[in-house]
Amino acid sequence: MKPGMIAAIGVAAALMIGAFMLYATADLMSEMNPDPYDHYVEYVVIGEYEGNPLSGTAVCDTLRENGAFHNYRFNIDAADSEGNPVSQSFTVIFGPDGTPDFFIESDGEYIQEFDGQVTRISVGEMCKVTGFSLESEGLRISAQEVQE
Amino acid sequence: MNIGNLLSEIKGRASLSKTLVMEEGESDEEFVFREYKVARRSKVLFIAGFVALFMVLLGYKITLGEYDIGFVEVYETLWKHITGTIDPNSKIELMNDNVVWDQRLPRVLTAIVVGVGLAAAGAAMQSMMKNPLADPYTTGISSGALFGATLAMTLGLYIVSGYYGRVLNAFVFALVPALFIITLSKWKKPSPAMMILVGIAIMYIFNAFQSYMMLRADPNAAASVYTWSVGSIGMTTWEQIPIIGIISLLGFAALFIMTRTLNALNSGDAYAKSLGINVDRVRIVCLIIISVIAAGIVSFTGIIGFIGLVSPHIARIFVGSDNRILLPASALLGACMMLICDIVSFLIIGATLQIGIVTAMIGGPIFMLILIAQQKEVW
Repeated sequence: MKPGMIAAIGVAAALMIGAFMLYATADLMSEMNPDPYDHYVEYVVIGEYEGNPLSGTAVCDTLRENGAFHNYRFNIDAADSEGNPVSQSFTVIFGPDGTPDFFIESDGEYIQEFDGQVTRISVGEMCKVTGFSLESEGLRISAQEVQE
Repeated sequence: MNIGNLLSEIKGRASLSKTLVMEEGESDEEFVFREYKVARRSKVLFIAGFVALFMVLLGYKITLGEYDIGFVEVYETLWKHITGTIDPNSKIELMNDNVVWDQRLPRVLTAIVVGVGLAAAGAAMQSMMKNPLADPYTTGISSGALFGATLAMTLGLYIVSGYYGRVLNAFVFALVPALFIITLSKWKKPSPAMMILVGIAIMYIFNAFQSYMMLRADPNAAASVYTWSVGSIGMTTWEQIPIIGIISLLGFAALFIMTRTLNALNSGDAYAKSLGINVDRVRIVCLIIISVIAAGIVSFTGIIGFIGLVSPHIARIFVGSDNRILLPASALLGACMMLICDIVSFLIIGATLQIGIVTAMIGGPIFMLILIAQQKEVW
């Protein structure tokens, strides 16, 4: 093997190692400075289902799609006063301008008619949803973050 | 069979003309013409094959993510968006449109234009410098651009203020290693390996300055600069795509116009001069175009290595060294490689793994295999 070629292979190996080192540093730094709004959040839910009072909990997870959009999936697990379970999941996508878009799924179908609102705080790149409310036919829910 | 033999065999199969034998009663002219037709057909097949692969990769990449969207649904949604037939009353169509068009497509388009730009820059640089190791990454041009952008991001030192000040900073500092390499090649006539080692040295000098700036920067800013500098395409939005697209595609077009001149340069300076080409001026113009491409890409995505290095080498195995075909073939291959690396990065960890690390992980070993398989005189 010619010396020039050995040098070329060495260069390629050095570039690969350099990329790994940079990645390791970036990973370490992001672990040392975690985003306070990029985590799992729990909520207390109250409301009304088919005229009966309802209560339960909800959780929120961040979905990774595009860095410029913030995708949150909410899963509500509640029961009305007669013990009927009410499970609902919905997605809120905040675009680059911060406007939320709601997508509510029920039994594999998207609900067309509803009214949804969120309250949130936003610092840095992410935002944290501290509460939300949903209103569709026969269902009214409002949720607040569980304070530790 | 060792890897070198395997690659040689692939190369042999790709160059079908080498296996042709003269038929009985066939004249030399007929044989040469048949050989030319077979070679041309293999090039067309290569391009057609990669166009098909590109379409499959594009659709498949858009299916990957947190939301479950099928391959056919992806193209259906794209078609409906382009033709303006998304039903505003259908939540599922609106949701798919948001995810496919607004969130996933910018990332995929960024991967494509970055792949096209870097691969075309690499192919042109290798022909221009007659150096198989040349690309914006190994010659320090990308590091210069990264340094310029970091200067703007951490210390707020801009040549002109505003968001695009970062791009201009990147461009100006990308020219520093480019001009240094031009000066060196005129002054000392270095060997190809030496030229690259100089490029690597420039890269380390810029990296040292960059590390110093990071130490002085705010920890959050330093963390985001580190994450960005590894090479990330996940933050681009529709507002940025036209800019990065124009830089990359216009750069590609400008280099494509110069392919005949690059072919002459590839045959040696004396030959190019005998054709009346002003070799020095062509090199400077070419390096400026490459610096603009590298600066534009680096300032938006950080450093993405090996695409500009590996794509032209693989394309050259199939289509030969004629830059009129090599340049578009490399660009197509670069786009495919970026999509493959992005798919692999998603399948390994998810959307959070920076693509720069995957291009190094995949491109590095491929490059080494090509080096071992092609024991060229230039080494």
